[in-house]
Amino acid sequence: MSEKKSELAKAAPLTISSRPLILKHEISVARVKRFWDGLEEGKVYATRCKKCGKLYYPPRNDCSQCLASDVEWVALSNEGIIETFTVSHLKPQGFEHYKEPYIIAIVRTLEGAKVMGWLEGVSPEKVSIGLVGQRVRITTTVKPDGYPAIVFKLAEEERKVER
Amino acid sequence: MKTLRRVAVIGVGHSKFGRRNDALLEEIAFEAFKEAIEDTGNRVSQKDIELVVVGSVGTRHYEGSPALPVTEYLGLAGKPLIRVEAACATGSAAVFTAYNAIASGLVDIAIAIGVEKMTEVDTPTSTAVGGRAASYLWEFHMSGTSFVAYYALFATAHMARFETREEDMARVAVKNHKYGAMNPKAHFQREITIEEVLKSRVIAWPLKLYDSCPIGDGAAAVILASEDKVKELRVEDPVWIEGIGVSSDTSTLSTRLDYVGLPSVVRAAQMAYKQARVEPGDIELAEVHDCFTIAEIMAYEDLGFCKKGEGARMIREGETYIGGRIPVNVDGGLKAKGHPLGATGCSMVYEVTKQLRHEVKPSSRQVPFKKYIALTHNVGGHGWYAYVMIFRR
Repeated sequence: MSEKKSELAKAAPLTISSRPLILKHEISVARVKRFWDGLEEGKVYATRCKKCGKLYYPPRNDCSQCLASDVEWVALSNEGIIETFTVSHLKPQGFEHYKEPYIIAIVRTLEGAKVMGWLEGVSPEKVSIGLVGQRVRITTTVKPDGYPAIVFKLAEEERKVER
Repeated sequence: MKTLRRVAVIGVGHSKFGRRNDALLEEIAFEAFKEAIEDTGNRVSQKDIELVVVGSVGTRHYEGSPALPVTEYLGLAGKPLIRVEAACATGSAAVFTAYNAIASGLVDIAIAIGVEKMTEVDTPTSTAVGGRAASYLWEFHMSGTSFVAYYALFATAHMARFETREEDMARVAVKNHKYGAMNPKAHFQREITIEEVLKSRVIAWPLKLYDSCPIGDGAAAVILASEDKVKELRVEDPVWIEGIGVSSDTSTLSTRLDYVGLPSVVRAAQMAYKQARVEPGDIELAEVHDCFTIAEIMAYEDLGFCKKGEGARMIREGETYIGGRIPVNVDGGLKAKGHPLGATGCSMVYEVTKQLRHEVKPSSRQVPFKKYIALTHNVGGHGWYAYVMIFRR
C-alpha cells in the first residue's frame, strides 16, 4: 500500500488535449414522421396496432406483440396526470444554453400512454411532492433553438389565465 | 443450467478510485491487474489466462476500443479477447462473461478487467453521454434527461407513494461516506452529516450533490478459475460464485408501469437466489448499486431485504450498517468509493471477496460472517441491465 501511494505521488497530474471529435447524427425518422409533424401542430401522436390493438407510446411502426407492421396514428388526448417529475439544474451538453433549470415530468394521458416532457409555468424553486397526481394540459412547442418540445401546464393554472 | 461447472474467484485487484489525471487508462488498469495476479499468490501469470474480458463503457475516453491499449499494456495481446458494455453494469457483464466461459467448460482461467476514465471530458459532456445512452430519441432529444434526472424521477415517485424523505436519502450518503472514509481506495475519504447533504446544491430535485456518486476514474480486476484448476493450483478456501441472475428492461423510462423500483433487479435477484439456493435473509453483506442515494433504498426493496416501500425505514433504523441486519456498501459504495462505470461491477466482487476472506483493512470495516454469504447488485442505466451475484466462502 505504501509503495502504491508513493507511486501515485510521483506522477503529478499532466494532460495533453486530444483532437476534438464532433458527432452530429442525421436521424432516419421516415416511419415515425407523423409524430414529428404532430409536434409542430400541437399534438402528441401514438400508434395503435391495427391487428392486435396495442397502443404504443413512444409511437412505432412495428408491433412487438404480434409482429404486424400495420399501425394507425392516434392523437393522444391533451389531458393527463403527473406521475413523477424532477427539476434538472444539471444541463447536459446540448442543453447548456437553456438559462433556467427545467422541470422534466412523466404524464399519464387519458389513454394510459406515458409521455415525458417539460412542465412549464411552475417556478423551479417552488416545486413540492404535491405536484404528483396534478392534472395537466399537454401541448407542444418549438423552442427558439429549433428543437421541438412537449410541454405540460397545470390545468388549474390554465383556468386562472383564462379567467 | 444443469451441467454448469463451479467457478471460484482466485484473485482480485483494485486501483485507487478518483480523479486520476495522474495516469493513462491502461496504467490504471495495470494497478488493478498487478494486484489481482499477486492476490492469486502468484499462482497465475499472463500465460495461464485463457480468456480476457474487458468491461469499459468508453466514449468519455479518447480511445474508441479501450480493450486494446489495455490488453497490450498488460501483456495480454494475442489472448482471446472480448470487450463488453452494459452501461453502469459493464463490470458485472465482464464477470458474467468470464464466468460463463469457465462454467461451460470452454476455459479454466479467465480474467474480467473493468476500467474507466470519465474525467477526460467536461461535466456537461459526460452528463450528455450518459443521458443519451439508450433513450436518446424519445427522452433525451426533447427533455434533456441525465442519470441524476432519471434517478430523481424515481425519488419523487418513491417520496409521493411511501414514507421516504430527503433525510432518509441523506442517511444513505452519510453511511456510505462513513465507510468511504475508512477505505484508502475510495474517491471520497471524508465523513459527512445529514445537514451537509441536505444543504448541498440541488442537482436534480429532490437529489442534491451529496446524494450523487462522483464522475471518476478507476479499475478493478477479477481472476476466475474452474474447480479443477482451483485444486490443481492448490488454492485453499476460495470464494465461490454460487448464483448469477441477469435481466433487462425498456430503454425508455416513461413506458414502465411505475417509478418506485427496478423490475429487472427483482427478476435478476430471483434467478440468483434460486441458483444459489439462498434467501434474502441469508445474505450477510451486500454491495449494491447506489449511484444516487434513492437507488440504495430501492435496492433494499427490490432485493427482498424488506418490503416495497420500507427501504427508508431500513436506513433510518441503521439496519444496513456493520452490526445491523444486512450491512450494505461498507466500502463506501458508488456514492463515496466512486463509480468509474466499467470498473464498478468488478470493484463489488473485489470487496465481497476481501470481506469473505476476512482481509479487510482497517478491521473496523470487516463484516462478521456466520454463513459466509455475500451479494453484489449492479445496475446498468435506470434498470436497463441488472446483475445480481451471490458469493460464498
